Amino acid sequence: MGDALLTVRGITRRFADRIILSGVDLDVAPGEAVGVVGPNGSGKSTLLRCIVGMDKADAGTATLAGRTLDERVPEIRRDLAIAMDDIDFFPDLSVVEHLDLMARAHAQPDAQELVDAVLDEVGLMQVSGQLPSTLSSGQKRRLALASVFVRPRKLLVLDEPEQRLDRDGVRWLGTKLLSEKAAGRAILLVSHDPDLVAQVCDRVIDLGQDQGLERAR
Amino acid sequence: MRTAETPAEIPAARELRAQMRAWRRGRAELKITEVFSDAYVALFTLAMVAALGGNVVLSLRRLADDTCVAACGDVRSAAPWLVALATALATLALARLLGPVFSPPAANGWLLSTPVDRGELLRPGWWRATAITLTGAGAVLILPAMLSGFGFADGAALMAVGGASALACVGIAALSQIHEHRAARWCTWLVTLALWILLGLAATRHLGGAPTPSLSTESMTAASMNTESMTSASLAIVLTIAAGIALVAALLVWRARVDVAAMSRRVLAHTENVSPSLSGALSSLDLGLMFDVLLARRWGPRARVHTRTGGPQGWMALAHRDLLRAGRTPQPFVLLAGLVLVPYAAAEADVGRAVVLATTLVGLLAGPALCSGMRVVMRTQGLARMLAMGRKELILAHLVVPGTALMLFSIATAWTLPAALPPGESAVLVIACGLSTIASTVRWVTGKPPNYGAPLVSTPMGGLPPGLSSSVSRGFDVWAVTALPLMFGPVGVLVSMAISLTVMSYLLSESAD
Repeated sequence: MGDALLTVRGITRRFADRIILSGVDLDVAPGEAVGVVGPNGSGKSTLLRCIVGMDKADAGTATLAGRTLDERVPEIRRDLAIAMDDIDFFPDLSVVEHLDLMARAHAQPDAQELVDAVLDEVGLMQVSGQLPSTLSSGQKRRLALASVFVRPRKLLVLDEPEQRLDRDGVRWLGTKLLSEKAAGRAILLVSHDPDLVAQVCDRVIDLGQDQGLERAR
Repeated sequence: MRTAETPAEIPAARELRAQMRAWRRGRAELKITEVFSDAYVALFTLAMVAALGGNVVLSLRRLADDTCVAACGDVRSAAPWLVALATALATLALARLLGPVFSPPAANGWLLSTPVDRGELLRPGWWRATAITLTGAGAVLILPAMLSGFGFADGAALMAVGGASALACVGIAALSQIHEHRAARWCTWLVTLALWILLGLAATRHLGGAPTPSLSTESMTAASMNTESMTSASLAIVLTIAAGIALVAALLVWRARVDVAAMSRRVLAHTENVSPSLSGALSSLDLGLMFDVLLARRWGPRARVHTRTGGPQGWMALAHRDLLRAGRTPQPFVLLAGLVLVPYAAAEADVGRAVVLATTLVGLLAGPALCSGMRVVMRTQGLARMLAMGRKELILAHLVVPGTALMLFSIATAWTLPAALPPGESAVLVIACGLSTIASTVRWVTGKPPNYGAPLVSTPMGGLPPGLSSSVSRGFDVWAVTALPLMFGPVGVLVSMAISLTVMSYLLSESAD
């Protein structure tokens, strides 16, 4: 493997006496997708949350391009695109305004064109003027995913991105992630969809068996 | 598309806020005349309420000036300092509960994940928190400052001390939140303890050197025998203290202002849902839901427990679990023990038999926090359905621990009762106080929320959802009918006990479900 963009070493997380993650190591190189799979409660989402700083690991480190991955550092936030399951929305901003806000906050020079293109791509163009409260759960999921694609990014961290998407949506997601890889971006993906994992991921870490067991694909 | 390899100038937070403001204004549905009309109504209402409130306060002050003698004057002089300390204590508790550095969930997801300066994004909220603290403390302190007979300079000094103390407490809470150090948490507890001790000393008139109010000239004759004017020396002391606390508060606020830039989303996520949830519960006047929100915050993702299994069977298993729960979360019981101070302060104020009102009311205010087990099984039928017990058995099982604590609380206040009472009557009065507290607490905990799904009920105030008005008075209604008879001799005590037991038997029956 070439130089890793994301390097995770020895991530350990306990809840009370139970060790959820025990010294998990992983590397993700630019242009590579790594899948994390395992049964419910095996610590997949916890691992992502510890890596991106939304949870505090009891031990272990994560670095992004050689720098400690601390989400408080603006340069880290610039390179790290996250789509977790718990995203919230401004109740009074429309779909397009959410994406426009994200693009402008990241200083995208061609924000409007980019937002329009992504809206079209994720199939939200028709509801772009609607408020989040009027969207279906699948549309909200698409909006959360769209927020990842209107901003600059080196590493995508996605927690079950296929959730609540219809069959066409999952198919689009697979194609989109492949194009992200082709553009040299790294992807760390938690998923319960074996087809999506097979389509996108170069390597798979299975947290269900011996923790952190890696399967090369 | 520009890629991440090309650095670009990140916009300032204020530019993003301006953009969001422009979007929001763009979809304004009110006409400008309607905006002016609404503003006029708001200002007129404010002026009316302020004038009415001001008039009431001034009348009360004149009444107090004319009638306050002996012990009453003593209490009157201590009241402002009690309120100032209690305000600081309450501010510290609220600040730790709600943040005090707060960012709504949507902003956390959409703005804090961007490279925009985090400090710049969070600082307006921090300034709002400090402004609300100062305004709130001022609004709370103006009443005792007026009623205590303080002159303008003395009242201003009191408000300066109280406001600065509240602000310093918010600053301590903010730094404790930001840094998450064990030392910061201990510092918060130490300040709480210090404030509580000062409160106790003030309540029992042991706070030596606390300045007393000067009196208005028209009331000087009536009250000059029992109060002293705040001398220029004591005013100077108060002003010096105020300046010292204000300096500390300013330093803490400034330090927090700088440090918010280093806050993590993880820390902000701990409190991001508390304020919106509490606001939602408050807007629907569902106090039970507010309790549930606080319970959920206490046992959020950060909470850890050591698993304990085993114990008795049947209904005793529920009581045993409550006992373990008390060991796991002793804070409500510690608070109840600390609140024993209130009846003793009332006794110091020489209120006589009326001390039972303070005892029972404090018991009711602290009681629901002891009953989290009961609340959880009663708020929905989901858990209760899974237990092979009737409502009576279920409530009684969950009442063993909190009921015992409330009865012990009542017994601990026995020494506040008038010494002239025969020992037998005192003992019965203490038990009656305990029963009153337990009955009103059970009423609060087992009450149903307002039913917004049912047709509105016609009232003189217009249509209201069923259960809305009773939701607000829940618990206090039982307190009123069980505590007030305690004032009227042995017969009143027996009447109170009879009402408490009747209320309890009704609340335990299936028909109350």
